[in-house]
Amino acid sequence: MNKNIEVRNLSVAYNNSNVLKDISFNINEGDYIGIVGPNGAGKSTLIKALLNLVKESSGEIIYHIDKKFLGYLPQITETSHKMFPASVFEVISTGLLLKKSFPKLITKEDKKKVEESLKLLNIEELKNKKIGDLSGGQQQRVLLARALVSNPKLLILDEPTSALDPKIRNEFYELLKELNETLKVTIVLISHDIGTIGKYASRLIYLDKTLVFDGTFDEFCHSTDMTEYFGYFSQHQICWRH
Amino acid sequence: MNDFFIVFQEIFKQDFMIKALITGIFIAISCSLLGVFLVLKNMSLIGDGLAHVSFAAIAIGLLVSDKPIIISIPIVIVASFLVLLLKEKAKIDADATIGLLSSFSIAVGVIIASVAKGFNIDLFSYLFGSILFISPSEMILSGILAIILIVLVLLFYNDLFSITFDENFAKISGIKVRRVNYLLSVLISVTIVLGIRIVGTMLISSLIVFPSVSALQISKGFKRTLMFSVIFSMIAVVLGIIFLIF
Repeated sequence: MNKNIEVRNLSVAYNNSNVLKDISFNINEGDYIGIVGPNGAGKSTLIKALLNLVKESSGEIIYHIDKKFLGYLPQITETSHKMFPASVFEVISTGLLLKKSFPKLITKEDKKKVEESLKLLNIEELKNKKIGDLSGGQQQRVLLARALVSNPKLLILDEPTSALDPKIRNEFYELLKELNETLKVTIVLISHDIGTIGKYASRLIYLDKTLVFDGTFDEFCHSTDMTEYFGYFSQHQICWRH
Repeated sequence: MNDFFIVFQEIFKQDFMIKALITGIFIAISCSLLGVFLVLKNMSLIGDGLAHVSFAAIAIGLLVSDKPIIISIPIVIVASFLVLLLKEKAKIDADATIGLLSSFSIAVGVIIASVAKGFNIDLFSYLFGSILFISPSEMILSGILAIILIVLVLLFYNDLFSITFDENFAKISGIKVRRVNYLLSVLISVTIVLGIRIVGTMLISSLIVFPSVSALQISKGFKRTLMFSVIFSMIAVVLGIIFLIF
């Protein structure tokens, strides 16, 4: 299997306290990884480290993929972009800057790409709307379109479904599944929704400052180590769909 | 009505009025362009804070030379870097740092002013501006600054937009976010030092915040916000000068 990213003994510390400790794993081409763990487990920090937004205090991250092929969907909060004067079209086109050098101009071809990603996410009618006027779920789809517009080979998503209603959430997971299966996009996704993510992801990483578990969902559910770690009851709760 | 136009014509035959008008428009363009980025980055008050710093800097400048502007530009640039550095390293929000800087600089300015009694009147002209006493070199500097800003905004429009909308995403897109932030700081500092000749320390912030906040109310896109902001600020300056006459 081709590796996309290798993480070796990664530690990250804020103000001298470790948020992540000695994490090692590979992200392979075509993987669909669900990263789960309690609040404060360092999930978002791990993603930020993968994107070079925070500095590792020790260890290293080795990229076997051109960073131009990374796509990123940040966590959104209710208040973000409230009065920002940008149209959906403008926001999505920033996703294309990744592949450009100076001067970064939006060409006719780029406009076509933006239209395509609007179509892909079924939000064509939002094209000229102001980003701040949209609901949380709509904003999230716009930001996903921004992440997808550059045709990434590795897509990193930080709690993408938190603002989505159940119907849209399922559509969203189906879309990711399709990207993963047909276009072979590698997906790394943080989620609190461990039951649902177990249905879609091919690999589960359980994080609690250290790497507690890395394997398939099945393995997770049948692992005696995990029964010990979580207790039978919690593990059963996580795995009830299996 | 005819009288009105004759008075008008007479006034704008005056050299100092033309200079005031042209310099005012240049400064308005610079302030309003930068204002949009600052307001959207939640740093609206940096203009006010740096204006206070430049009050102290001009006081120092008047103490040691007859070209206070040249002395105060680097001092204000250092102060603006301090705001960015404290935000990056110590996680102190920009508004807190601006609060610290403002009060500290006013104190320094007042101490210097009262110790060196000789230049009080001149210093006060920087406090409220003296648009009718603009020197030709100040006019030219303001013009150069406005042109540099317009060119930079045109060339780096998409980078600036991306940074203002989502800094992390811009970083991932390979945009040199840190460098751009420091460049913006330099430009803001120069704009403010030149701008306080026109509107003064106390009110320079109005040229930064009012046009952009007004533009934000009516426009849906980013380009239009920039354009409206510039238009509003120019109208404000021209109207201001006309009111000054009557």
